[in-house]
Amino acid sequence: MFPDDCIQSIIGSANWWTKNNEKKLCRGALIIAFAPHVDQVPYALEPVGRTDASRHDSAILRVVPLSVNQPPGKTDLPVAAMPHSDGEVWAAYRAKKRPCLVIGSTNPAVDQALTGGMPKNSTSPTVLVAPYYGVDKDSRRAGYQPDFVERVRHCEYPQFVWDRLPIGGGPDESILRLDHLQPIGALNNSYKLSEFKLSDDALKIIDELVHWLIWGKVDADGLIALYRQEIEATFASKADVGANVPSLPV
Amino acid sequence: MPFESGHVDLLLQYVLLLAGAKDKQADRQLGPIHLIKYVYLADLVYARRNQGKIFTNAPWQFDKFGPWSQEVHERIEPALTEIGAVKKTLPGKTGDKDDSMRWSLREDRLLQEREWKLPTDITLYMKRFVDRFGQDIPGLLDHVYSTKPMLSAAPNEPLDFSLAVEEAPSAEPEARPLMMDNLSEKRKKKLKERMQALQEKQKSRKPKALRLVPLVKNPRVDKAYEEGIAWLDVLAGQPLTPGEKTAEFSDEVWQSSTRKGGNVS
Repeated sequence: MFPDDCIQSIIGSANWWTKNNEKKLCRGALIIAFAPHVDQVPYALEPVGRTDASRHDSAILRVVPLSVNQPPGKTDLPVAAMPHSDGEVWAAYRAKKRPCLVIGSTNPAVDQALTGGMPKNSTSPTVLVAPYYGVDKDSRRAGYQPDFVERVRHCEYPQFVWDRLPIGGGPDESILRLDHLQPIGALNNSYKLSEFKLSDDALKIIDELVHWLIWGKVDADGLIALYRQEIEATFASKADVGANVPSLPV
Repeated sequence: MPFESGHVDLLLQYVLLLAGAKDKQADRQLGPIHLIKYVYLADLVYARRNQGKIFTNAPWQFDKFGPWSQEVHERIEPALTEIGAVKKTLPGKTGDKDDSMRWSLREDRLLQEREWKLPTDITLYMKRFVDRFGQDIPGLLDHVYSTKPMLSAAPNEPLDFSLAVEEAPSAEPEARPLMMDNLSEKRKKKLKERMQALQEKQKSRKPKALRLVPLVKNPRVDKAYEEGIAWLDVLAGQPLTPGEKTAEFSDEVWQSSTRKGGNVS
């Protein structure tokens, strides 16, 4: 299932993904959720007014780049369907139903006795997930970039992780975007569980990769560092940049 | 409960006189849309401290400009004529009679009289509302749209003021017991000693020698990388296009938790 040059092959094809027999939302669970694509320039939906002053079932919205220095202005005829408090905006992102990896799910439920009178969205439980982007090389979808995908497979960039998902009918390869780590609601209608989760060993590797993204460094004796040594030793002649044999501890 | 036209008249007169006390002539003029929304806010603040009971007993509903009561609207002319308010017709943009009508009156003695006749639950807040919004229709509408009865109703539905009750700030916030306050002196002393011991430990603690290394010193940021990133972004779908769009709201919007969720601070 996994080629020899990927980190998964160290764990073994049969041991990377396992069945989520408990059918629970847990760290490492593969779930399906609507994941917003957080663009570098987000958009704001600025309610401009109503299409007809006497009706509330429609409105004119202006889609504008969201700038911290230029929040959307006030409208002449407020839109009752989109109330917002001072300082708030309605932000718009593209979202797509994607496989997501649950990175953190230990957000404890808050005791209701402590949240009386507080808005529910202040205490709603969330889980931290990273979305997978499908890379279907068979259909050469949207300009497949084999050299880039190979670099990702070799763990050259901390924000991307190459993988093959066990879900049938999906793309052959996927890229996990750790740079799109985001919370989603932990309520049942926010996600769908797949039958799979990462094995404990696989999850340790993902944790190391998350550590790399956050801290910029990894354990010199960890599996990732050893893996990169092998990759660099193997491909050094072909790619003399991007190489880094872990040297002096920092 | 019968509609209290006397209470409505009192409120309409009071609000107009409050505006009349403003320095600028332009700030003293209120139209029917302002007056109705201010009467709604008066009922709302009254309901907060009176178990959801409103001062006017008007049958409020969610109409085209938010809270609306035909009964209150019909009292504007007689109530304001009674105190000799000046009625002025402006050149209207929309052709709506209400939109072009403005009332004004400056009369300090009458203002004081009306204030004495109203409950302080109302007068306390109405001064703030008139100061804050004055003639600003968008600001006034934005505010009333964010009130609980409005956030819980769909267009054309009656407004439920009992929802406002929980917003009532209690006169004296109930003191919450702090665990530290309930600690005995002996335990407090012990805690202090333990914390001091931790401080000493922290000072003498040697950082754990982690062998951390940068995994890839120079990840290639070249044409292949840039094309790869651009391609991943393409996989997200077509970007949004700036500009004006028409949005249609589903009927479920009105009862959704998003509208009722309060602010996101």
